[in-house]
Amino acid sequence: MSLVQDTLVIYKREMLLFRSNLRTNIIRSIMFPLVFIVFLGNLGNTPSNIPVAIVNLAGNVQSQQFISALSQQNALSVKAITTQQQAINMLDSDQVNVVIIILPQFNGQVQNAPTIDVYYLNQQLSLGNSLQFITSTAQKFNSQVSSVQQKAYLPGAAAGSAQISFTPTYGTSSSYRDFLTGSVVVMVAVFGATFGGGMSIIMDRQLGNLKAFLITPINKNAIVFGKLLYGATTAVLYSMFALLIGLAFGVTVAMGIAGLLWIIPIVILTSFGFTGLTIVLASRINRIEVYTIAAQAISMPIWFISGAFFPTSSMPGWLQAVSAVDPLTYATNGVRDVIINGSYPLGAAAFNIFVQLAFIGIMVYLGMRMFRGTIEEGK
Amino acid sequence: MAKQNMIEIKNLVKRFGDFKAVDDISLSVKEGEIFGILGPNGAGKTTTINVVLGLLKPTSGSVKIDDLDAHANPERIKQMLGLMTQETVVEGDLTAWDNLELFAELYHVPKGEIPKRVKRALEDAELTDKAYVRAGTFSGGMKRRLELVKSMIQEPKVLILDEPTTGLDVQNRHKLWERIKELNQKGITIILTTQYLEEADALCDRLAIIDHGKIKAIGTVSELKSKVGKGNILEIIVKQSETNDALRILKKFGVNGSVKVDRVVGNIEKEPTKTFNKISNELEKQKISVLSISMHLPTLDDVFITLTGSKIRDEAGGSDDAARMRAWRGR
Repeated sequence: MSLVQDTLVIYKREMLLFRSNLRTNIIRSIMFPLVFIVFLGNLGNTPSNIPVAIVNLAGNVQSQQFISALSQQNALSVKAITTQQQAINMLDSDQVNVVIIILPQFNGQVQNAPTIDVYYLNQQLSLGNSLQFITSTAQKFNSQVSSVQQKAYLPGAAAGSAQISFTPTYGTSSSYRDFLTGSVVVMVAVFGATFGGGMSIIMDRQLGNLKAFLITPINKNAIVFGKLLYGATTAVLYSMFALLIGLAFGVTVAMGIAGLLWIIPIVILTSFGFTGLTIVLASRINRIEVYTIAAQAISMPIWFISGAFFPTSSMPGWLQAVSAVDPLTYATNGVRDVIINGSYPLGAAAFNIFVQLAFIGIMVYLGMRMFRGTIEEGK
Repeated sequence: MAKQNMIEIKNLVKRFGDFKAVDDISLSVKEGEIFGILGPNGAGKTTTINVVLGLLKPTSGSVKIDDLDAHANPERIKQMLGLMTQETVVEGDLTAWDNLELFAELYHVPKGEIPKRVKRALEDAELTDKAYVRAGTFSGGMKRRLELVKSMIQEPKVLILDEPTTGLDVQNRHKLWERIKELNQKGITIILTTQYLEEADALCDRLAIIDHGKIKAIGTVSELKSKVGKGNILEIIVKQSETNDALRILKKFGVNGSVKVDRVVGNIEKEPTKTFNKISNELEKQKISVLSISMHLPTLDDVFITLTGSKIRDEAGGSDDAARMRAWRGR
């Protein structure tokens, strides 16, 4: 009988086991993304009551409505100031983080011309997402925004400059939640691998199932391949859960539905590689406790270094070098391109996939070799 | 039925590092018999079985099954062997049906035949009405029944039972014995390892006693019993300080005794009742404080003590595992 058929039998068995513990598995797979995306996603993102000074030079009905729309949000704490100079002084002395000047032409009739000036210090943390919020509110009033960074501010250059522009630390996207979702989608695949690959091999060994498999005439590699397939299936499932949680909490996939065509293969490749890694671990470790610690000790740094929480570009040089050899970096980069940047250049994709394939090749080869080694010893 | 050798083990040695788990074992199991392998924990029973099953490579020596070299023909050999182990390994999270179907598939039973076989196996195990119930909810006896039919799903010629009744209550144990006998009557060769002498006595046509990886004796139960000597076994338990006195008294009545801690054991060959009374009177006369005195026909227990110098040990954790762990760390 062929390796393929044996693999499918093992795969079927794993899926039956998965199904019989469906509720536990789903709850476990939802908890992690829920905690990260929903709670940690707020980090540096929406500090509420950011002090904002508004100077209303228009003084018409629309401008009043615009101010009250801004005031209704917890995100901003709006103060009305009479003169522009006074407001800028407040910005200088750190009394406010943003200054909004509503220009006289603010009436919804002049299109394609700035009707608001926004001054701010270029400090991401103190701004949160107040700038996006101001921009989007202004757009509802059919109004354009120009912005001036306070440091670059020269009185004459203010009006007429470009649209609000700032470079947040977390890529071109506005939200830290978007940023984090990309890495959580990949990370659940790694966690799926630790449960599905190595841990299930140790359980099988402890319960005697492995011996029961080995006395049957199946191809021994089928056990490894069956676990790889199972790991990939659950990884895709868990990643989709994570993505859905992200979507439910306002994350958008910049590439849209087409993005899934990238995300799913990236997740599958990630799962293959890390399931291989956990099989290597499980071939050397017999106790669940030790395995769990080892798996975490390996997967946690791999995750952090991959740029899961902050972009690798913000890391110190030596850490950037480490992250370059972290296989998860390439998966995270891919998913992030899809979710945040909205385009995944083929060259980058090819390189990322190549790195992942190399990782899979090494891990699966080692996993198979070492797994067979343990069998020969009669474990 | 042609009584040819179903299994032939020749000069089998299996080392784990420096530890010799199996030390030059040779034995043969005839077709259609129930062959027992008896020994304390760590004697090398499971290691021997694992070599026969092809799970372990022998360090030296050979294993032939139905005239085929076990390690040259793993595919065919595996189809011929069934195994039920001391740990019940039915998957608790799967239904009885799924458990059986899975193994039918692992054994490459033709697709079309699988449902038929699973059905019949469930009938044999009296679990038809529990086919779609999770095996984890079954009682110990039910699990063991399911395990037994599972290990028979590929219709093997040889069924290996590795301590099949460990942990079962008396009723279930006797039921399982009946099933084993039934299977044997259908022509299946059975190899049984056990620590229960009673079990070996009740089931086995022939048995081998192994200890420290070596065969101590091999033969039918009555052959082995007669090795202990004719007559009756006398066993006296006294204070440790008085064992030599008791030994002297035995000698006086022509009984050669031996001492194990506070236990003096001898073999009364002639006039057992009379000699027993005389010895018992003499012990009283000499004011030796006897805690227990008894006489019985030789049992497998006695055979065992005579051959291995110890009672069946029941250590926690087999030293098979300990040996493997040692081998593991040694690398």
